Amino acid sequence: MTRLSNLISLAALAAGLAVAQDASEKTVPRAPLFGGAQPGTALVVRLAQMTPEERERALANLPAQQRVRLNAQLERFRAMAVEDQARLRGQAAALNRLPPERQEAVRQSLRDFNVLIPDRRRVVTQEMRALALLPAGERRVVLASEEFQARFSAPERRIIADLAEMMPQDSPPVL
Amino acid sequence: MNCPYRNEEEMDLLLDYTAGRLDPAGAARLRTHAITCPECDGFLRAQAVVWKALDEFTAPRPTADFNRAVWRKIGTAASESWLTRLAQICRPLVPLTAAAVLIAAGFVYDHKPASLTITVAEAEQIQHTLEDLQMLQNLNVTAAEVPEPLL
Repeated sequence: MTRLSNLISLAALAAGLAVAQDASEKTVPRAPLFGGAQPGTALVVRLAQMTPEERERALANLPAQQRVRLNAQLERFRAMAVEDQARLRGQAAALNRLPPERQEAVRQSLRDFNVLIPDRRRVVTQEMRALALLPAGERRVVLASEEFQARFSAPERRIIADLAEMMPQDSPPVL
Repeated sequence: MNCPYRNEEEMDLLLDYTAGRLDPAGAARLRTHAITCPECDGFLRAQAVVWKALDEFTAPRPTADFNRAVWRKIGTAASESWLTRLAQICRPLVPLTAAAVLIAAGFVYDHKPASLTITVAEAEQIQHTLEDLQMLQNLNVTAAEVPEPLL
């Protein structure tokens, strides 16, 4: 009995040492924590979840101006509803899954969308929401239709084509 | 007479005889039987030696503080035995506890959130992500939230 307990203890001891060794090995070479391998969204979420003191320490190496700007943006993200945060993270993940050239094209369309005049933005938004509900094949048919071409300018058509797939699938009904 | 050596129920006769508790008639019968029974004869002789030795033994007189010394030893033995018993119970637990503590320490150390210090390069990555999030957020506003054009 005593011998059995000694054997169990030795095995447990070895396991404990292995875990401790593993942990120490993990922490020694501090590879760039987010050196491209970790999505930026994970970083943003992690920073947003920190207390102000923790975040201050994390951002301590940055220039003051950049620190202030990041803090403000992170606070805005933190203030969002959890569902909205999750939806945004999903969209960002979808964007990051695209090939780099396609990512840039979508980003450019996002920028162009944001500078549309408000009434065109409204119309374009409604169209993108409607298209987002269609399967890819049907969407292509609509995008190629004469009616679509007549309703939207070339830049708007590009915006709609690029961003329709980025629209949230749980959008409220188009008003 | 049945042989008391071979008969378990009558074995007491041999012991009573050697202790001198047997009545004269019974003792005479056993002596007669032992003349013809080598086992009983051997047993009685051996017992006679033991009794003789016991009779010759003279116990030494206890010293004046004998009782006190005995009680002191009993007290010490009692406390030692309690500690010894506890040590015996705990001995197998010591390595188990040490291993458990080590595993727990390793687990805590392993899961301790690493302190995070953002580099300038990482900050740029965060900045880009926040810009993406901001632009994507504009896609999520409901149609009703898109500002009405100023007429």
